Amino acid sequence: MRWDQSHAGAPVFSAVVATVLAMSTLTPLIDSPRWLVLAFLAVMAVASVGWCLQRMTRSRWLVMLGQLVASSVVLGWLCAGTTLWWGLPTWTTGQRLIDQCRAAGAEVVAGTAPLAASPNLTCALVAVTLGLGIVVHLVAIGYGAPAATGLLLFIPVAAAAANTTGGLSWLSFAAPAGGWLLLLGRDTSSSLARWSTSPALALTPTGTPRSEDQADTGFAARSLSLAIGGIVAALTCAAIIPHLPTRYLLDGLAEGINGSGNGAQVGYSSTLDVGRSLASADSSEVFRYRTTAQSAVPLRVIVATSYEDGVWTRPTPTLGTTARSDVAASVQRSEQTVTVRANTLAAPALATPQPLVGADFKGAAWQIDQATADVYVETRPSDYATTYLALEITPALLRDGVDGIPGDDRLPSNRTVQQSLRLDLASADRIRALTAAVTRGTSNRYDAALAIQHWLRDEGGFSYSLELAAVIPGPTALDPISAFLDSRRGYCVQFASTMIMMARASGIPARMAIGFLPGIWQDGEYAVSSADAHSWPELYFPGAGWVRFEPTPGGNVGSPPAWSVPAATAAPTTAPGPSPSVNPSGSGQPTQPGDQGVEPVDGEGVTEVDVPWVERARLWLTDPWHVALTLLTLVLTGSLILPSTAAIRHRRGHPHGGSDAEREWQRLMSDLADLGVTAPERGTVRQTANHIAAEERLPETTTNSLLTLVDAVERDRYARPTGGQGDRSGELRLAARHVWLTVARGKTWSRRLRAFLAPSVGRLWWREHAHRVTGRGQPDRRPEGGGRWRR
Amino acid sequence: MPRRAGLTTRGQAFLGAGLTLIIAGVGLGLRDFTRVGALICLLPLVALLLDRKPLAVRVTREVQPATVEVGEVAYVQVTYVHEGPGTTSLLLATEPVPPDCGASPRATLGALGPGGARALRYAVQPQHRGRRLLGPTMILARDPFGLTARYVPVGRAHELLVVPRTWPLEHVRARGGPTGSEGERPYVISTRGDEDQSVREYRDGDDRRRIHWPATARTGEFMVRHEDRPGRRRAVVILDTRASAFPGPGGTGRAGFEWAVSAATSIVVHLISEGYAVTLVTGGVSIGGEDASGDAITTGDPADAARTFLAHGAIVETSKRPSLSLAIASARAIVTAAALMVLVVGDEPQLAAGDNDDLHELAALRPPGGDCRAIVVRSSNDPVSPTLELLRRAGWAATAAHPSSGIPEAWTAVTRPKMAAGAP
Repeated sequence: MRWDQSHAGAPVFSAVVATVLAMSTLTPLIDSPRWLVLAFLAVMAVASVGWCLQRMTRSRWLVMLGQLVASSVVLGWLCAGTTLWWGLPTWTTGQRLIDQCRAAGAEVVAGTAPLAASPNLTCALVAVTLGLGIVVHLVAIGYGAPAATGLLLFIPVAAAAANTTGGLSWLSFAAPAGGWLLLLGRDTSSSLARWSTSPALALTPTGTPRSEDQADTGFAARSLSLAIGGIVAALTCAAIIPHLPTRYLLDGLAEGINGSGNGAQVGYSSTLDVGRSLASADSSEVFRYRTTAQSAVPLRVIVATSYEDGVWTRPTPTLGTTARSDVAASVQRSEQTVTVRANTLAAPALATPQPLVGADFKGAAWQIDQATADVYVETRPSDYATTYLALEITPALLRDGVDGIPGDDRLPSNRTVQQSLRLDLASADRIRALTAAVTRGTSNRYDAALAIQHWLRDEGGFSYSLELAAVIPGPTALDPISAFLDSRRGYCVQFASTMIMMARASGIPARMAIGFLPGIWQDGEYAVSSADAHSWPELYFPGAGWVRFEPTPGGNVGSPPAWSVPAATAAPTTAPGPSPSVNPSGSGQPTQPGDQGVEPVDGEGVTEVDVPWVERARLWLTDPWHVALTLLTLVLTGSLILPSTAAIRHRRGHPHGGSDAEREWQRLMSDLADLGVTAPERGTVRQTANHIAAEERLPETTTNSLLTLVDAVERDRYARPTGGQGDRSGELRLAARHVWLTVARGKTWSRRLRAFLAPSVGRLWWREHAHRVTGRGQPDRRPEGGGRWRR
Repeated sequence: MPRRAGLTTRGQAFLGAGLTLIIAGVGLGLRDFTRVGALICLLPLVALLLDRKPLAVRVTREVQPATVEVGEVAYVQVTYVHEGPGTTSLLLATEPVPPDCGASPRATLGALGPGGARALRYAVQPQHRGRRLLGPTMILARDPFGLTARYVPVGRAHELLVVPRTWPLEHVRARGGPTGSEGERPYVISTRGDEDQSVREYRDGDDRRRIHWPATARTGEFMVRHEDRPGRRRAVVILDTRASAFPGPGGTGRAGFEWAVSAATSIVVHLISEGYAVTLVTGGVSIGGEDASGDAITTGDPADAARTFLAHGAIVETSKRPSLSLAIASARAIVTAAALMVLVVGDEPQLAAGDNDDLHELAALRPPGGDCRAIVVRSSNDPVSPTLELLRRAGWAATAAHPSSGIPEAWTAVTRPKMAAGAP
């Protein structure tokens, strides 16, 4: 717990520089670098506090604590000035900062790079920089392990890399690498200075003499050349080595960012914020395409299945070279071709018609998500050709299935389908009630879907608008779908999201497709611009697979697909009025308030689809967080096996029996042995106690406790049984506990941890049973702790 | 000749982590990971590559003074000159010195260019006599990030002679020669004839009556008769080197012997300064006395003579041989001509058991009426010392001394026997 002897400020400054340079890799993801300047100043201030504390105390943790306090003050000044009390942070400041960081988190999840440097985001970035700076300070200077800070400094670099397509710029790598090497070199330099006991005198001229007679070591020049050489070699090496196509480990901003800075590319977000107004009316051309089909189909880019807190996110892809086909062989089909040129969509996203059967990406490495058939390319192909199946989907097929027997059992139980049945918790009740009302009278899923689409397009009183109704933030703020149902105003994302949720409430797996509408017919081909970006629901029907619907009204969206136009006879018979009274809390609705909790109308079983628990567990484990949680639980549980075994063994007492005193003594000896305190093998109880007291330099009070125990054990072993001793177990336990605590306090924490996690009694018990099971000889059953039994 | 070269633990860790990151980067198609991996993987490799050149560093060492007494300080300057082409890695020099001489100094020499030279200065203060080795310098060549390390010993070790500590002693006060005459012998034996007479330059304080006028006339400068050349009286100093005579657990016996060596050399140096031709007998070795031409070694410069004895004193060691016979044999030839015989002897515990023929023989070497003095070095606090008693009975002026006592006091005790308790 001691700082190094060197209290020079240079290593502290190096740590600051390394931290800020590492964080600077995030600047391409944010539209203004102002936050970095603020972060640098804040880290500098906090590091100065750390440097001062370092000169006053030798405890690393005190220094870190001081820096944390300084960080809260600095953050309060920067981000929550109004909540300060005489310049000091208050409880409200903490809450404000937490709120700001939460809001920043939501902005990051919802937004696409480059994110606007909002006050919330700036605050969060400064806080992250401060946290990183403090840990780097602790590791590099407190523990003298600057090499290990490489891992810490790699975190922002990895975050930036994971959220950038086409890789970071060379400077984004060289800057943090240089900062880290500076830290490393500075540490070596100061350790060399500490190592030397005598100065080396320069007998020949040296570059920059440090003093009149002391030689310049040439350290700076040497480390600079090695660092530059290493960085250049690393850049070259990484450029030369051929790489496999990019696989993203995390859903991030990567797919959305314009990584290479090439203005000709168009970003595409993998997430979709349903609550956000569509402010951009960018009309730059994305690509042009030609098709052999009679009517152009929308080209899909991304499928999103999971909806949480108003944001659609795509599932973790399972990349391969083939995708699963859900279309029955009996469905009529024809192969059509779409030829794309002048594509500016940034890799790895690619617009393709679905279901895809073949493609020529002109040499660009590609992979396909097996579940969604989304195509990922490593580099953006300018031109490409795709072949897809133009299916002849008929209402009969959708209504009756391939063999005319539709049913739940026909729904595949794969992950995509399961995820496509989950309702948004915030709006679930309302959606269920609404769906029940809208689909009343329908007898099958297809008709239900038609009713929902019809209601959204025509009957529900919805209007198309890029501007959403303002939502008052706060705990009572409505979720985006409920807000849309209230305002009845929105664009494709809100329409599609609502239809998906309603379809899911009807038991139809549904997911969000994001892509482009055919665009404008020009010179024999379709010119697709950013303004043609569109989202639509895809509903799953057994035999037909994922089928496109179009709930968004308006001419520019185009007419709904043929199969989704209800035949005159199939029109839903009942639909609620356009009034907001569809709100479940309203009156005059067919559903009773009490029904919602007890018997959800039509929505029941939506998330309770008959899936075996093994499958459910497997699905649950597909989330890396769940895996981590499970592993953590397993490790924690496993690590408690030996301690609990020992506790049980101690409670049951020694196999040979014994009194309270004997039991406490044996337990104490065993516990002390675990702490590395041993006594001579053949000593008496008193000799053992004296040895321990002397070896561990026990204070008088502790020695008295030990002797109390010894007296009791001796009386127990040697004195004539009188039977009038009374119950002294509590007192003896306290005495033993006191001794153990005093001894343990003098041991290292690692030794204490080891003693707790792997007590010898527990280990012995398990070893004995292992031997019994394996049939090998009994291990030595000598009592632990060196004590001997006389009875 | 490199003793060990290669990656440090940090270098190995970097290499491993770098390779892992490269594999991850290539597999996941993330070039940024590959870059980071390549950096931490290549750094140790590049450092290793740069450090391949053999180290051509010439080392010279100057020690001032060349010979020191125990406890005295010697100043050492080590010079390192890079004689190879190009610039070296960062060089760290450690100069190993014996533990009793102080801490081994360490210095960062840095990167040396062609012909670049650095010097390391340090002081040693040996606590034991003997030949002490300084160096050879161990050079650690490493890179600025601590990824590689190469240990190279350069140059040769330097031998520093550490002689026993000598003490200024009281004037001899000769108690008469072998003839048994009383009183002091004349200090100066007058020279006879001009051929024996030498002259030297007049110095301030010289008696003007001793000015040698013929020589003054001849040279034009005041010359005085150089008459202080003493007569060559002979002295024998016998040092007992039997390990059995300096018993004691741990270092106590050793301390006794060291005390005896220091006492013997102090006496020898003192006697030389008093004008004696001294012979030092240690075990079967005798130093000094007369050489083949009949001249005593000590007839030259007394300082040179003292150096010879001190050098021997620096390396004399105890012998496992339990007998004094060799020393007796060496001394017997000289004692007849010696005006003074000094014995520094250990107090052998077995002496009481009657196994003392050697000592009897040694004690009997004393010529009748001869000036024979003995210091018995005792390790125990036993009030009775058979050795002391035996020597005194044989007519020696003997005293007992403990290693913790002062050598000048012991010498005084045998020089003024009347003051010494129990003197014969």
